[in-house]
Amino acid sequence: MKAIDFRPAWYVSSLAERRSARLRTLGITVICILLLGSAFEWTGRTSAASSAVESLQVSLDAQAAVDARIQTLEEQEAALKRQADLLAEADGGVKVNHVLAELSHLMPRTLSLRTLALRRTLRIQRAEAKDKREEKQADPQATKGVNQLDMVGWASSGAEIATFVRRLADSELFDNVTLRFQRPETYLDQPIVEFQVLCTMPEFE
Amino acid sequence: MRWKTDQVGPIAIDFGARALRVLQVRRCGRGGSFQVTAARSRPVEPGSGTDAAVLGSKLASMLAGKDFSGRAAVTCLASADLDVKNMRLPTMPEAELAAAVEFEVGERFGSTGGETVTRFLPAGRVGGEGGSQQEVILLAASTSSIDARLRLLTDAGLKVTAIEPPANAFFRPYERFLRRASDAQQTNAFVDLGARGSRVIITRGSEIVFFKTCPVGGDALDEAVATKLSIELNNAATLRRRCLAGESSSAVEAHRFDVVEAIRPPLQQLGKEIGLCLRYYAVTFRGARPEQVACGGSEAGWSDVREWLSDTVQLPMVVGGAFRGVEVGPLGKLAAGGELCEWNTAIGLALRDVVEGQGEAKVA
Repeated sequence: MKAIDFRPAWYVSSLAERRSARLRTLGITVICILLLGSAFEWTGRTSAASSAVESLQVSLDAQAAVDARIQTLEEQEAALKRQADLLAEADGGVKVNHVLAELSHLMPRTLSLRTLALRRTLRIQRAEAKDKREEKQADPQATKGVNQLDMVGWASSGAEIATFVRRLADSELFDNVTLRFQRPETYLDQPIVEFQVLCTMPEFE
Repeated sequence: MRWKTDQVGPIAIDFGARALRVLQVRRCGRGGSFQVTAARSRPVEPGSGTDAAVLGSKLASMLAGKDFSGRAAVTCLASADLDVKNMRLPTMPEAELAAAVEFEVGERFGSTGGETVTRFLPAGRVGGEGGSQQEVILLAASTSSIDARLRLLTDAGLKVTAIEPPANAFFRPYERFLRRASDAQQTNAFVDLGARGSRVIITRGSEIVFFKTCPVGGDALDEAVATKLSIELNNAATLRRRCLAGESSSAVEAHRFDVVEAIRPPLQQLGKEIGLCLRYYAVTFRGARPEQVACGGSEAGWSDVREWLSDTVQLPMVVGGAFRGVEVGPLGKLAAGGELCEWNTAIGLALRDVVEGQGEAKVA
């Protein structure tokens, strides 16, 4: 059947124009959407590049911090190595506080020290070298000097002094323990025994 | 995917004499089945059928809501707004035929091109296949009536995709079943029994070769009853419907004989018109006589009317079945079990752009 349409030409043409206008609008809209999409993609890529640069910067900073830390550790290692060398040169020397702690441990309860003198001298070494000349010549430390500890104190009895001397002689820290003298005295109407002990000891810091 | 296989047709708007009908169908899949997606009907009071304001408000209220999809609309002209003339022209190619018809329009209708819009239907060669002349059905409508209808629809927010002659809309539901090669030379006759008048349409294959408008319709029957019984037209219409519906109340039975006697003469007149049309076709085109006449329209649902017409025409008058292959959906509630004869034109309009081979591109 042949289709018949009584719509006037002006109405058909207006519909066609409206349709073409709609298509134009649609096309422009599509183009705008594509442009916007491209812009968004470009922005996304730029932000991604910025974040990558920031990450790189952070990585470089971290690497610099690690390098600085490594350098610090190397310096500390060098200092420790130097200290270790010094200690090695001191040949196992001990600290003063260790000496005092050992003395307090060795002293009997009723014994007290009035004078404690630590001297580094060769005189005693020479004096002792007269007795043991051959051994001192063989000892390489003898050429470096001797650390002498001079202790003067009071005790309630001579037995305690003997005990103290024996303990000093047994200690690894002290050598050549010598009781120089002991004599009875009176202090505040109490009988006491005054004494002086000499001994040698290893190198100290 | 639904959007590829389903196609929603335009909103069909049928400005009937007694009712304004709006219908929309959807083609389901790639087959030939259709489904009515939305349908509404509002009665038109006598005398307000030409009032644009009333029709516009009715139309706006019917289109409100979400039942109808899209704004594309198709409608048809009223029979009163359309002049139909058959004329014969020498056989010529269809491209030249348009110019010849345009020339003849000025001669026959006596009007200029600015006042009327003319279209034509090539009916076929006169005197059989070897005839030297061809019959053309000339259709003319005034620009004022077309503009009024356009304004009415555009004011309702619709985009008009077509304004058809009513005969095309009426025939479309049947035309889609007449496309086989064996149907090409088959003659079919249709009668649109409307309120204001009736249309006789004779087709050969899927082409309309003849149609004529007769002034006898439902209104003429009501007037005959009113004259016979000397009652008001509204009462006559109600009484006639009750009689034709087979109501057996005492009030109806008392006037049944008078009603039948009143409507028989106009129906005989219509039957004679139909017989003359069939004879004209048989003489002019030397075609085969149709075996039956398919009826549609608001008065086609009355079996008594069809029977009385059949007695005059000497052919069976049957209900056309315009909704064959169409799932009526929401229309079933409006029809209330009826034959849906009054929706014949509306379904034809609704199928315009969804039936394969039809569409906006094929504008005359």
